Amino acid sequence: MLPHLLDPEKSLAAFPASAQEQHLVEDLGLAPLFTAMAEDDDERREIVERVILRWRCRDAATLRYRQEALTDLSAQPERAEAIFAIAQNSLDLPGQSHQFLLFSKSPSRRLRANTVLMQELLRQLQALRDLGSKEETFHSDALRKLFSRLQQEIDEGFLQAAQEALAALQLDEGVRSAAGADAAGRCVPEALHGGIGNQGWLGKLWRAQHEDAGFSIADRDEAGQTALGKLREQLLTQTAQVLDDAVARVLQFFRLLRDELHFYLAAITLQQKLHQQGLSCCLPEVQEGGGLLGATGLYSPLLPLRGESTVTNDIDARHTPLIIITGANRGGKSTLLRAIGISQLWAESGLYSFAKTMHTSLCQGIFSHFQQEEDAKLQHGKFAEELQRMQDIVPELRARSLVLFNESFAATNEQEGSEIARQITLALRDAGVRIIFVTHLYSFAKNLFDKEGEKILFLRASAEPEAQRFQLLPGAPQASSFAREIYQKIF
Amino acid sequence: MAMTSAISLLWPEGEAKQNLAPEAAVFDDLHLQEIFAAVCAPVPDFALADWYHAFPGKSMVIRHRQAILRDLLQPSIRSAWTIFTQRMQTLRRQLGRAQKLYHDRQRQRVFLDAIGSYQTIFSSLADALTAAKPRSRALCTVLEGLIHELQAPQRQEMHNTARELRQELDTMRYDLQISGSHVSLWRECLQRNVDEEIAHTFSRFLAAPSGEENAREEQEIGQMDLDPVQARVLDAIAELFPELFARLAAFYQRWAQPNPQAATDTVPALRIARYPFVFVPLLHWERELQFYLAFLEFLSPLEATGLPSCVPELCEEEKHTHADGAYDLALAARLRQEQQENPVLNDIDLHGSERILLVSGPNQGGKTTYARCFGQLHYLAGIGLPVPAQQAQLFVCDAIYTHFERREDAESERSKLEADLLRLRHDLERATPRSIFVLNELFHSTTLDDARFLSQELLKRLRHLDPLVLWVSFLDELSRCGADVVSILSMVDSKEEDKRTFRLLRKPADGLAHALSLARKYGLDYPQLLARIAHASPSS
Repeated sequence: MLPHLLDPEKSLAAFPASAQEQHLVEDLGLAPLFTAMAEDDDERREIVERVILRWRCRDAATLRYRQEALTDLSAQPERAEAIFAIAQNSLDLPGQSHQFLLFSKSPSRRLRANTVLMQELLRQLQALRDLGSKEETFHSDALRKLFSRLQQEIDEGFLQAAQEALAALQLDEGVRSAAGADAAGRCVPEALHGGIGNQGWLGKLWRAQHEDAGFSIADRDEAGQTALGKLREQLLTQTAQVLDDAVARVLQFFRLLRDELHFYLAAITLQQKLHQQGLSCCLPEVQEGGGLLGATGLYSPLLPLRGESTVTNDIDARHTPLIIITGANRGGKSTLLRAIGISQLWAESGLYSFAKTMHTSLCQGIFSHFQQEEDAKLQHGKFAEELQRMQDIVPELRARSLVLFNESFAATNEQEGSEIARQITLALRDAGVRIIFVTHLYSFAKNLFDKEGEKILFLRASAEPEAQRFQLLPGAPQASSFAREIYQKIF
Repeated sequence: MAMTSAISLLWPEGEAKQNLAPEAAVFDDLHLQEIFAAVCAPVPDFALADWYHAFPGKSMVIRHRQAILRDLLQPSIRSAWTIFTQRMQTLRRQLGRAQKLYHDRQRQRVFLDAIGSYQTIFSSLADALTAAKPRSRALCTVLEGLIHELQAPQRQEMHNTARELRQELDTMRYDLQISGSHVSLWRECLQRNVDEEIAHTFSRFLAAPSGEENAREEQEIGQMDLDPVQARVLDAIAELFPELFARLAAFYQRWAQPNPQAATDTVPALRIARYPFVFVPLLHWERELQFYLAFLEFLSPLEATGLPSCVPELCEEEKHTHADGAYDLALAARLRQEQQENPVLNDIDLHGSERILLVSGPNQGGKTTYARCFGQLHYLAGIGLPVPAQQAQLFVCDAIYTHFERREDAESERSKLEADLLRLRHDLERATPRSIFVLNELFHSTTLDDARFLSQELLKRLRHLDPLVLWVSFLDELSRCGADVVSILSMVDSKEEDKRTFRLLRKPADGLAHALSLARKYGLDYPQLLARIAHASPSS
């Protein structure tokens, strides 16, 4: 039995980091988002990063699965917290008072500690199961199936069998086991029958049975008492290991449940923060193939988290995989680029997007190619670095990957940069890759505009009065970045 | 089939096991003592030293041994016996420990297993040998003996009974209960298995990834003696299954109880003969084969570096002896250990009417080593072992007499000479035309005149007796005494006259010539010296 909150078939695991992850985090500026989601909780943060960067949905079904679970938990936050609390409490149990005994080499000590622990865990399992039997039901597949499984597995039969087994581990009055003998005539324990303190009819039967052979060890016989203790531990070794394993399994269930919940709770936290600032999040419509990007009221959540005012944008790129963004400096181009990237990441993770509405499709990997800071080591020229960076991305590209370019290939003269940008862009586009390219390489943009204008979405940041600033609208690339104007103003 | 068991792998049928030990002096002079000590060191339990010190002097014995040796040089046959001995040594150690166990029933149980092991080791040997197909009559007879014993009804019965007992003891189950300080046992086991219950109940949860697993504690095999509780548990188990344990005791009584009257053998490896389950002839064969195997083990690292060894052909009618690429085995072992080098190889040859190898040449040139090599070749061939040479046809001698100059020098010159001559006379009286003499720097400490005289006399006597002789002497004129004497010269480097090559070749002894050329080299010959002095003292 596994929680399966994030995927109907798989569980959260340690997925390997990808080479491009770090770039994505830096370029899109994701760190503050993760902080806002996880607040002080390092575990929660790590899990959120892991899922968003490495375990996004592969198909539409899984995506819907997560979206529904998110909706369910968002709608009933107290219940979500209650599930989380039970899981976390269970995981905290070993740490309280019994911990050092759990790692003891003595089987009898471990048995004693684990028997008590298991009783507690059974109580927690029942509490968890009972959470799902209240009036308000869950609607998502994930949660409905989780609780139906709990109903099925944590049933009377299970609880009774567990209690009986644990009762048999009351060993204070004595312990009885089957045994054999090894090639040196030493006693070798086999199946443990249990403690004879069992109050049921079985225990009474055992106590009444007269022995076929036996002997006693005198209290003062030190060597004998030591040897007797050793034999007793031997009888319990196998059982201690079996119980160790059983406890580990139950804890593993709670661990996965808690970790997977971390993800949703983190998402809900962010949603609430944005909601307080009057910003809306929506569950995007995500397709598997075909369908490209379309959004209304799209914004970058980084701005409100910084306390800055937010501008929303509408984009209709449903007929083209290639968006080119030009326009005035500080006109909101990079912000829009980041907004698209972030919402796409969140959408693919099964979470909401930062928009009023959003339509998109699953990408096979999201990559960023942003203009680099000055290379402190000055090992290569900046341009060579940009090309190297592109080189690094290429092996991971697939058809339907998404690449976000921010002022790329500008570290050389415009003619050369434009040509290279053109070649790369067209090659990627023709291979099926989606591209969003922020640039002020005029030749590059103009050339494409002239040749294939209808097939490409051109957005332009305006230099218009403040009210419309940061709004990007469809528009042809313009030659000047108003540098002339500024020059004339000064000179 | 008594004959089969009585076969010896060292002495052919009809040959008395004579102990013809040469004098200790021979072993010291030829450095054979070193060699045999190194051979015996890894296998002290088999007490092989006496056998290496017995020189049969008869070709029948040598051929008997060589046939067995040739079989043992087959890797499959050699490994069959080597593995057998390794396992037997392990078994001997186990029996030694088992014998000391204080608890009767435990000891009986352990011996039951040991007997099972012995049976397996024994039959594995027979199988391996059958597959390897020995050619010597001796080993074929041994194999027949092994198979016959394995099929003997008594042994079969022992084997079957042992197997049954082990089976029953392994599958025997009982219930054990510890309550406070009291231990109870029952013949019948209850049905309940809590381990399975727990595992089954919680199997609905998936296994955690293995992180911190408590290492399973292995039963300590070292300490076999039962602690007080285990001992009493074992006694209680015997009460639960009296019939089974009675059978075990009876089995032990019959097959493992050592005969209290049997004297403890002086040879440690043979001591387990006192257990009834041991097939005693096999013990003796195992030990006799160690005579060959231990020596082959000793040769092994030397062969690995490229030094040759071979089974020599035997010359009986003619007084002919020959070896190519021969070397001093003791020296080789020492060089290998100390300097990781190999000695120089040399040839030895006496044929037709030749009788005496007269070896001369500069000091430290390898003459003594050559003499030792000559002696070793004939000794090792004479006891049926391989010899240190590429190939060899060696004379079958009836005895080897050595006279090496001793440097002890505590006594006076005169009494020493007397003792030496006395010994020489003694040897000459005992020797036959089929003997071999190895003489090294005799009469070295007398005057030149005396040495000449004594040597000429000795030569006469030797010619009269007609043995084969190797004689190291600075009196190279002896080499020009007749056709029966062959001059062997230890060579120096043609370019650097100081440098010894350790090669010894048939060459006329040039005696003074070497000394002269050396003098010339240092400007100390007559003409040069005269000139130098004249030059130094201008006008006097």
